[in-house]
Amino acid sequence: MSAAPVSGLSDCTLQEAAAESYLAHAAALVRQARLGAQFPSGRAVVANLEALSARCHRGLYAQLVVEPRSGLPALKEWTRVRTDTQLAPQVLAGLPPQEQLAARAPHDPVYGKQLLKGLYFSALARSPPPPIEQLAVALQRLAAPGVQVQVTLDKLDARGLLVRCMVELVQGPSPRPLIERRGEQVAAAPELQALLYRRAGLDAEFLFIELAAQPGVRVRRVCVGTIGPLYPPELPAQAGLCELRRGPGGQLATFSIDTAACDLAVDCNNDPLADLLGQHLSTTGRAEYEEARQRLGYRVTKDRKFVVDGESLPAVTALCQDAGTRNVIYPLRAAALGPDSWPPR
Amino acid sequence: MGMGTDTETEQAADIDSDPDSDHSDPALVPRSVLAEQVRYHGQSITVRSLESLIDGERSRQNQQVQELQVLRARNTEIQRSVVEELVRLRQIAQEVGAEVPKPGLWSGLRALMPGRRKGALVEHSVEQLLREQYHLSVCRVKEAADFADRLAVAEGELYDEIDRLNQRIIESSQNKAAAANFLARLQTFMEKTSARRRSLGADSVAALTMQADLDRGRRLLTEHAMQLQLYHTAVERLSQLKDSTRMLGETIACLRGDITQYVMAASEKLDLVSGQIRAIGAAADASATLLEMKQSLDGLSESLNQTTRFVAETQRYFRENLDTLVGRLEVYDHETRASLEVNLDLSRAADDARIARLVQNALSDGGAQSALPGRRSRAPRQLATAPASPPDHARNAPDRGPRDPEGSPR
Repeated sequence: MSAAPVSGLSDCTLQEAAAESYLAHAAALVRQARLGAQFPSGRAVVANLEALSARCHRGLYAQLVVEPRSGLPALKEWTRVRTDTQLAPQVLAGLPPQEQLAARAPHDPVYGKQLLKGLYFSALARSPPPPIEQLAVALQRLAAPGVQVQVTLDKLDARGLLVRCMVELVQGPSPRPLIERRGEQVAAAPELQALLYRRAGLDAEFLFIELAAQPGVRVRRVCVGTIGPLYPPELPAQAGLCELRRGPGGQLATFSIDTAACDLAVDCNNDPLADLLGQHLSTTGRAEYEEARQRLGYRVTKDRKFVVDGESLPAVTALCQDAGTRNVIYPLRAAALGPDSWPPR
Repeated sequence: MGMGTDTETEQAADIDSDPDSDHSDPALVPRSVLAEQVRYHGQSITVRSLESLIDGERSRQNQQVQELQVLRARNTEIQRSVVEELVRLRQIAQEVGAEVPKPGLWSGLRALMPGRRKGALVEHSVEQLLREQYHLSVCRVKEAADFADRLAVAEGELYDEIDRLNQRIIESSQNKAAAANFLARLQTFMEKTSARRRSLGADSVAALTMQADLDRGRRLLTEHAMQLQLYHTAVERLSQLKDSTRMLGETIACLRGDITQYVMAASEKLDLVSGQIRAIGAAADASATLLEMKQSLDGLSESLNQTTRFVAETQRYFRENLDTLVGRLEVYDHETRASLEVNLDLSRAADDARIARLVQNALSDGGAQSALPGRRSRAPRQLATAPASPPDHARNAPDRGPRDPEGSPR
């Protein structure tokens, strides 16, 4: 049973009421997960989901495309929010005067659309949803001749999942440093951005090893937090974790953390859906791999939490018990189950 | 449209007391024509109000032309961006060769092991570049879609404007017909009266009464000939404005159609690209990933090609239509100004003549005739037009239009 599928299904298109219901459920699942700093910002995700709702866009978009394996909106929908937010000032500046719109909109569809656009883009301009993709570099310590930084990349990965990749590293002297430093200002070199972008969706351990292979770089921690997959009731049933849903309103979501760090005491896999990287290797490969681990001095932990409705809760609990893991499982509050609870609190 | 309230019968009874009048002939216009109130629809027209009306309409039209100029500027921007994006796309295509995904996790890991380290890291992730390019392209398409919406509003406003102009044209045309009808009747009356006046002795009461009627008639001729000229100018200029407005509307409608087609085609391509980008970096099979990348690049290229075609065609459209249109509007402006100037001159002349007449009357009452030019009797002005064929074109007005019957002192 895999939680990180590569999309093999075509996108799922939800129409008006189904889209609204889906967005309400998805936002409730994300809110209920009580996501910490290791995950992409739950507030940003919910704000983006809200912007995708007809309550915000006033029916200007007739449908919503969802990536069925991740259970999250497809790339084009996240991009829609981003571009609309970016274009809002420009669009608002080009609209006819408010009085003219109010007077003519009820009788003329052309003005009607302009009125709806005015309402939608005003809402976006008033409270623009934070981007779901961004890169930030924070200086942690100046340790001459190196510099210790925390690099955070939020990304919608190739599987359609939302990923936060946090890396703590020390950049020492190097002909091509991955961290560009000017006084106390630090920035990620294009090579580091590209590397993180490519590898963010893979194992933290794999990224740790790849970063550690770069000249002058000492890696302290790599943590990959993933939102999804989500399985709201509006999406069609499919093989895998989705099968744990029970009843017509059954829904669940998972949120995983994968960490490779030098300050971990032991390896620990508390993820019932994923194995450690080393378990996939051949005997020869495992020897080389163990040698690398010892040399780099890191340990690995994997964890996963669930949000699930009451009816599906026993199945998820059984899954964890069978895997021998002790996971946090948040039952979905009844108040958050219906679309009427939108926006989710 | 009425020319007056009194009927022929009433008019005939009115003049029966005059022994010199001939009212047995039904072809004669009764004397009461001098007391008729011509009813014009809408607000009274003056040179200044006409000028103001046309200025207002032209301002609206200028605003629409400016909208199109903005579109043209935006088009130029898009063209520049498209060139930049094409360069970027070529860069991405080069990156595809540099970033061939490994056919499995372990082989990727092995490449990082001591002694197996690969070369320097590449500076860009193809997926990232494609995403950025995708975002840019979506922005561009959305901007175009928004522009199409704005053009739809502008088009609607222009057709509203045409409705409004049509109402003004019809109103002015009715007023023109009313003025022409009245003038024709007045002219007939004056011709007959003048002929009868010549056959009478200079000092008879009937002759003096007829002379007074002729003077009154000349004044009415001046006043209503001016109205006729103004309404004629209004019809002509407003019709031309309407033609220009319609042309603007059609230009905007064509542009909107083009943009909508472009938006639809580009959106379809971008939808495909978004699906392909998603798969890049995820597929374990290198050849499949490369294929996806190539398809994405092809999709983006096609989207950009759509943009390029759209930009090129729109630029041509602008060159062929907007410049011509603006040129025509400028020529038209020049003609309108000239026409209004002529009308203004005529108006001033008429005002001067009227004032001169009033001053002359006032002075003759006060016995200071020596200070004034002698009063000249002149035959009634011959109107060059009939009701069905109103006065000549405005630019010829100084030669053939209404003239000051008193010989303006200007």
